[in-house]
Amino acid sequence: MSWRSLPRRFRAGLLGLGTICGAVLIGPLLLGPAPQTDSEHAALLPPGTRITIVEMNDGRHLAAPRVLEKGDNLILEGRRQTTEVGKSAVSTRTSRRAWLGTDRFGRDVLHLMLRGGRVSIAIAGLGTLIALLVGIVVGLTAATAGPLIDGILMRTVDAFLAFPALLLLILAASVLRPGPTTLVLLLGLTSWMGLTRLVRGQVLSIRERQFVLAARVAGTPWYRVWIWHYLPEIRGPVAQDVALRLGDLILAEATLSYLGLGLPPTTPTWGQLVSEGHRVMLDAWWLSTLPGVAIALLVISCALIGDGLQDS
Amino acid sequence: MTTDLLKAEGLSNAYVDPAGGPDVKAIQDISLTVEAGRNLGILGASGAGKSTLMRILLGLESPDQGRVIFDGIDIHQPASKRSTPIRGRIQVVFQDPRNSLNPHLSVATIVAEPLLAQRRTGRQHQKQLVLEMLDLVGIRPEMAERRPDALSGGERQRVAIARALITHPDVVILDEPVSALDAPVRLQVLDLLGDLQERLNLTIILVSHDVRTIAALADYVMVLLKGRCVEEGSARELLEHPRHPYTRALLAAVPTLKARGPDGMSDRLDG
Repeated sequence: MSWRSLPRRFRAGLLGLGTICGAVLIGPLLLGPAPQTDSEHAALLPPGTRITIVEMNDGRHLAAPRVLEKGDNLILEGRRQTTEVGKSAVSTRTSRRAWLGTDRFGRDVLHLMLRGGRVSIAIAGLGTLIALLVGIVVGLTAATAGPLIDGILMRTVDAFLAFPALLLLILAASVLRPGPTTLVLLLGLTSWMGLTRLVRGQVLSIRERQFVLAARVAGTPWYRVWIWHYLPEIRGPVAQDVALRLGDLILAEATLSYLGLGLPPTTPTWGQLVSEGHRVMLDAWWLSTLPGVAIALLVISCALIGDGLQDS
Repeated sequence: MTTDLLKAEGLSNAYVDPAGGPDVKAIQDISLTVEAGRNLGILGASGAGKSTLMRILLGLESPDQGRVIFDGIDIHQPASKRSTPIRGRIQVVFQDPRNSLNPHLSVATIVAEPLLAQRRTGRQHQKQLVLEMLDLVGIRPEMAERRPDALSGGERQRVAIARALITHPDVVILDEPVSALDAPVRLQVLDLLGDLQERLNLTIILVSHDVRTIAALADYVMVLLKGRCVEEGSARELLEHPRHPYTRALLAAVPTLKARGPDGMSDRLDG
């Protein structure tokens, strides 16, 4: 199958997802360590600002968008504060550009977003993987293990679905105060139900196909029937659901982080960046907007992939 | 000498009507005996209960009443209670080879599947057996790695036959084995089945609505109507002197016909 023959939406989605994943994977490597911050002079600078970093003899770093020379002194002009330092106390001066601006603490937003994106995508991805595994195993079991087990499993699914997933997540997250592992488990274990229903329905429709019957007559063991006969038949709809699920979980993680129920603030995810930024929205539009756009692009890419898989 | 290979006693099965009506009786009180080497034909129109009977004989479904004894073993007993496994000794060829071959697997894998289930032979030997079986049914070795989509209808049915015969079963149940095929291919596949039966010492249970297919392979025949057996007897007698009006009607629908005799069969199958 050539790239051109794939549906356009699928190509667009794959390109979007690939670009974002590539950026968060390779970006931090290319950019190197996060630059020195200065929360007094370099906070809340708009995208594209050139920042001068002044290293002092005592090892402190100062950074400011404007550094003027005045006699023997340097004047550091920040948005909120201006400081004068003696030239003799300065060891080096370097400058760089904050392409996406800085946050309240003077941290570089591009760095924060690339590192935060890694965490967001990894958590949503692993959560989706758990949902996929649970969904496939429970769905296949329900479809093949007889009416009693089917009934029990599907009533369990109904019980889970009876609560809005987000409420369930918020409840669990506020009780457990999750670390990364717990968060992945929480996301995965609140989103497997749709996949279970999908898998069960698909398998019920192929369970009576003649190649499956022939396998049963020949005594093929159940695990081989699953792997050889069921999984290849259901992979299309499942892939589609998984793509949409990934988008959902990105949003769910962002929502939890936004509400302060996600990971501790020391690991800034996109949701946390949006949350921090909205307090200074009028002063610094880019803080909430840029991670918000990144989340939106990722979710849209997933949706496009899902749609494209349906078309193909 | 003949021995009873498979015996069904008093099989009945009913389905619950999803619309809430009375239970649908698919088959009622069917008994049959299959002797080794004598092919049984089960003749009936659609809805006569052929499929249900076949599913029960294959062990895919348990009857409400009655039992099926194969070589002294009740096939509907849970496998754990059986002393010897029957896996692979009863095999099936379905009607539509488009549906009965997994489109995601290669021909070689499809044919090898029942062997893998038996876990008796090494991989290398299995490969050898698969190629031999494919050769026996007239599939060229270079087709072994292809998917079923790349094969014609007749070739696919040959693959399905190879899959059924790879375990050297005692009984093969053929479910309308040629009705999905074009007329000239039908003849070839029927010839192949007759040929293989003699070579491999098979016993065939043939389920069909088509009198000509039954005539080509069956030694004795059972006629099903609305879930009941209305007439049974040797193929020659039943097809030449039908007693039940329903059998007569079935035969009248076919222009020219003779029962299977010792003198071959291909000249009668120009359908």
